[in-house]
Amino acid sequence: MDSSFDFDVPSSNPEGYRPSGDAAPLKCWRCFLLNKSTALQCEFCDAPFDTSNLAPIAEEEIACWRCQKSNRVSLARCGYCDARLIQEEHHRERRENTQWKHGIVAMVGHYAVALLILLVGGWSLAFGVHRAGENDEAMFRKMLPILVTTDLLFLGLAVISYVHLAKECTQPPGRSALAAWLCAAPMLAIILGINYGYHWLLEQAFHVEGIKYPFWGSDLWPWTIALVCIQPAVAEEIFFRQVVLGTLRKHMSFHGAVWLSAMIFALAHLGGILSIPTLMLAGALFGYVRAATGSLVLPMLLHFTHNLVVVMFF
Amino acid sequence: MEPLTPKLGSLAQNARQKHLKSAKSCLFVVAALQFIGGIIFTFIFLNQPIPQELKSVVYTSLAVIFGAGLAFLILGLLVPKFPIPCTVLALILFITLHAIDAIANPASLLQGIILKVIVIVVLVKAIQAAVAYERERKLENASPGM
Repeated sequence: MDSSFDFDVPSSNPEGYRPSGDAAPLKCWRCFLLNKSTALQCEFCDAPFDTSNLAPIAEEEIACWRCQKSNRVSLARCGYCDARLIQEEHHRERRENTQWKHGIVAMVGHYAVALLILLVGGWSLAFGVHRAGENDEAMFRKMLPILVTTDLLFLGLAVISYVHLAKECTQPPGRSALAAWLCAAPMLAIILGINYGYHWLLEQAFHVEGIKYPFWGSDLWPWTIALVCIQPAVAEEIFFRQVVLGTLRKHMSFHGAVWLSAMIFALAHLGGILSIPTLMLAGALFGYVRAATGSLVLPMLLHFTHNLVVVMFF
Repeated sequence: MEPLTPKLGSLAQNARQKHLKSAKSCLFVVAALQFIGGIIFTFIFLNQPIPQELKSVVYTSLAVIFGAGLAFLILGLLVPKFPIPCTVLALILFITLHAIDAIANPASLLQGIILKVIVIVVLVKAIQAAVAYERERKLENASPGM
């Protein structure tokens, strides 16, 4: 060809352009394999190369840091050796990539530590499957120091995770806060109804009963409120709806992140594994509310109300 | 005709596929380990009498072991479609299952600890591979000319 450019590429493939007089191979825009510079179509996938746009494009050129050949400034990679054209950019991307990996793996690591803490709670509450007739209040009183310790440890972990992963778990501001505040109460009522029905079925089918936390007529009720209602509402919301959901939202679709965080939230309840399905529903509700309002206030209130109703009436 | 520089142009594509394959293999390895463990467990209990009151516990344990193996297998198959959710869920599932096991039998926490650590490392590598895959795919989408 007599043009100052001796190759043919579609205009959508700026990487294909080569300076004149250089017999550099031509990279196919579809399969990325290299062809002769004079090829009219790809030898490997038959993709046609556009021959209509062969006019020379006046643009500043930059030398590749690896092969020293000149490329157009707008190119991200060298057309000859595939190196990233700007090393700084390359390093920045590598750093970002490492941060991404760091974020999600660190989040799972924090979850593992949370499980270790919750293990102790699970041991102390005898796996969540309660033998009928056992005195729950006496058991609760006996386990109180362990429960207080594990709750404080988990609260500490949630705060540490939030501080440690602050950059990785930032979430966009909520866009439908009013709708979330209006719909939250009815949705919670539905979730509690499902929860009640599910546990009633469990009792009927398998004759297992959940632990009845001391509340009515017990001197332990402030402890129940503190350990079963307030602490989970604060610590679990910081951990699951901020750290876990925030990290996951950066890596996957919004709904995927909400439901996966809900599943992680449900699986973390080692003390009541039979409640995992209903906990997952509740976790998804809290996750959607967190995303809609852009803050943790409403999920915390809902979580507190949910646990309070369970403690008082279930 | 052979490519002038074999497969040089498809380096990014190859790297992505490699990441994905690595994540998929990790999950299949974990599923295989789970099934092997389940088969060994089954043979042990087939060769010794089980008291009536322990039968339900044994059957539940077997169901959990094989169920988890099946879950890892399904997650492995779904990795190409949902790389990060599948790998994260696999690791979460593995850790949680062993935590539940540890509640039922605290001594089991340290049993086979080396294998557990290896599996966790493998699953972490799978997550990293999935993240790298997604990252590359996003970069690719951001600059279609590349």
